[in-house]
Parts: sequence; C-alpha cells; structure tokens
Amino acid sequence: MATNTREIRRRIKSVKNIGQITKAMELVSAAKMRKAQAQALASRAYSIQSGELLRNLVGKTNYRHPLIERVLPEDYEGDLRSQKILVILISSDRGLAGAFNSNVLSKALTLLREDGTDRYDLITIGKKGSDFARRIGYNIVAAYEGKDKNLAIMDARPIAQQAVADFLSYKYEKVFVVFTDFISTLVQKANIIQLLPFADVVQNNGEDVLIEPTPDQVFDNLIRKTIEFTVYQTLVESIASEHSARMVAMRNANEAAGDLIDDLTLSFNQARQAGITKELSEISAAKLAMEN
Amino acid sequence: MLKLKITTPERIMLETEVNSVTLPTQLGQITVLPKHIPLVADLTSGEISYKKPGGEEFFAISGGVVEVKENGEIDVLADSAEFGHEIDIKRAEKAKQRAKEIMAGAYKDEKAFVDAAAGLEKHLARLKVARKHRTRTHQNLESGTLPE
Repeated sequence: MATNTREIRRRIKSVKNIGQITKAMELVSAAKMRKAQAQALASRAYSIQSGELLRNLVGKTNYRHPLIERVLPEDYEGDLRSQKILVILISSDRGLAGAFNSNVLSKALTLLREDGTDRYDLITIGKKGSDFARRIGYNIVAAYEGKDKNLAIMDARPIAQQAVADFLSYKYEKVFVVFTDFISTLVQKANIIQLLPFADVVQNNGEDVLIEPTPDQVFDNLIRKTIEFTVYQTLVESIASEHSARMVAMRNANEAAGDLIDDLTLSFNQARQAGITKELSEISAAKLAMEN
Repeated sequence: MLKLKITTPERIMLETEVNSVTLPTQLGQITVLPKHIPLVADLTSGEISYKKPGGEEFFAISGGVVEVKENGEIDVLADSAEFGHEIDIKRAEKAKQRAKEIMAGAYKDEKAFVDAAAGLEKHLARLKVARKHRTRTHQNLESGTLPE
C-alpha cells in the first residue's frame, strides 16, 4: 500500500508541474494575444476600405491593369497550362496552439489537391508550414520564419513584391493566400483568398469618375499598396489567431490539470485510508491473538 | 454637408461632417465642396484642412489616396496622419535634418535618395502643421479661450 500512495503522490507532483508551465504559457499568450488582436483590428478598417475602393474604381472605368485582369501578350508563346499557381501559406513557428496549425494546413490541402503537385509553388511563413510542404513534396520557392510580434508592413513587402513580380512575368497564373482569419478569441477560421489577379471585379456600371493625375498612376499605386496591405493583414490576422488559439489551448490544459489533480488527490486519500484501515485491522488481529 | 472619413493603417482617425475639405493632391491643392463630381486622386505629403460649423481644423498626412463619392462621402486612405498636437516638433525637426543629410550625399542609391526626399516632404508637412497648431493654441490662450 505504501508504494501505491507514493506512486500517486509522485504523479500529483508531476501534474502540478505541468499545470504551472501551462499556466505560465497561458499568461504569456494572453499578453501577446491582446497586442496582436489590437493590431489586427486596428488595420482591418484600412484593409477593407482600400479593397473596396479598388473594386469600385475598377467598376467605374474601362481601364484594366494587368494585376486586375489577366492579359496575355499577343506574342505569348508558352502554354497556359505550364503556368503555375503560387500559394502563400501562413502558419506559425511554434506548436502547442490547439488545432491552429492543423486547421490552416488542411485548408491548404483542399486547395493543393485540386491539381498535380508540380502545378503549385509555395511561399511559406512559419516553420510548421514549410515542414508540412516538404513532407508532402511540394516545391517551396521561399520560406520565411514566423514572426509572432512587432510585425510591420515592411515584413509583408518582400512577399508581396515577389508575388507581383512573378505574376507579371507570367510565371504564375494565380496567387492565393492561405491564412487564419481572426474572428474572436474563441473562434478562428482558416481561409483562402485569391490575391492575384485581383478577384471578384465588378463590371463597368457606366458611372463616370474623375481620376487624377492619370488612371495609370492611380491604379498602379493603389493596387500595389492594396496587395501589400492584404498580405500584411493576413499576417496580423494569423498572428492574432495563433496567440488566441494557444491561449485557449493552454487554458484547457490548465483546467484538465486541475481536474486530474482533484481525481488523483481523491484516489490518494482513498489509498491512504485503505492503508490505515488495513494496519488497524492487523494490529487488532495481532492483539486478539496475543490475548488468547 | 460632406462626410469626411480618414483611415490610416493604424486607426480610423476621423469621421465627421464638414462643410468643405482642402487636400494636397499630386496636381496641387484642391478644395472639395458639396456636389463635387466623383473623383479619385493620389495625395502627396501635406496638410488636410476642413471647415465645419465649429471652425477650421487641420492635420498632416503623408501620401495616400482620396475618393470623393457622388453622395458626398469623402474617404481618405492615408499612409499616415497626425493631428498638430500629436506631433513632437523636436523629433520632427531631427527627422527632417536627417533626411536632408542623406540627400546631401550620404545616400547609397537612387531609391534611398527618393525615400529621403519623400521623408523630407513628409516631415516638412508635419512641422508646418505642428507649428500652426502651436501658434493657434497660443492665440487662443491670449484671448482667454481655451482650446477644447
């Protein structure tokens, strides 16, 4: 019996230790989460508005920018099928964030399964994503480390510029971003958006609009900025989601540790009581034997 | 009345009803009054000022784009925007000096020069707005009415 109580006590101690670690991780994630959420929400208005402005503007003019509508040059010789699809996959460097990474990766898989492996190129952000792509044999053209704080628009720039440049040189037919949309602390949704060519364009509705200085300049400026900002926004949304998912996962782990400790304490007390009862009955049995 | 809305990557800076707005576009300063035709224009660094019944107010922006809609909504998407009281004059002055130094010969390539030139323009606009804000507040203090 004594070995049993010692065994249980040892387990209680180790569960307590794990509980302390998850508690600490929960607190750290909570602090990072608040920051990341504020950042994601602050820039959301700008992101939505610049996308809206661009869509409206396209609907009001006949001007077509190559980043909006795909125009192949007349002397284009190559085969359209040989053009690849670029997927920008945003995951995290670290695990222990519940289903955060597996959700975004399985979302990516739905897109990648639509065609052969050699049709896709990937830009991965975060180690989990690049490990995943390597494991299932996809071609990675660039792998960025995940950045989970102090993200700036400068971090999105090289990714956006690479996508735009390769798209304009007819290397890619389409560019997608797979990321996690931050909805609330408890809800995050893996999502796919088409970055290029700029999707769901409204047709010309005949309204007249004055564009200064020239449509060329305004469009070029606006589109590049919008694309850059879209990449930035998907990054901050993903980061906010990551920290939220991790915080919730750690809170659950914490609660589970608490439950486990309660259960173990109960069986520890039972075992201890059983030991005492057994000893008592042995003593009284021995006493009875001596008296006789 | 016009509905003015200023959005920057960091925040929605302002949402208010105004009588008129003056904006620095690439082709020069324009003033938008009600019933303006729909317009989309690139903005440069400079000062946006708007008139409303309470008086005139202003702030600094550094580049962006403005959309004037038919229904009188004016949406400004600014790369950055600051009110006069938010600008630290000393730091803006230093930033301006730095940009000037870079332009005077410390730049590596064409791009660095252009960036510095854009920075200089931005800080000049910020300084102008900050100084204007300061003199206004001063006048208000002397005449005995406190601002806000």
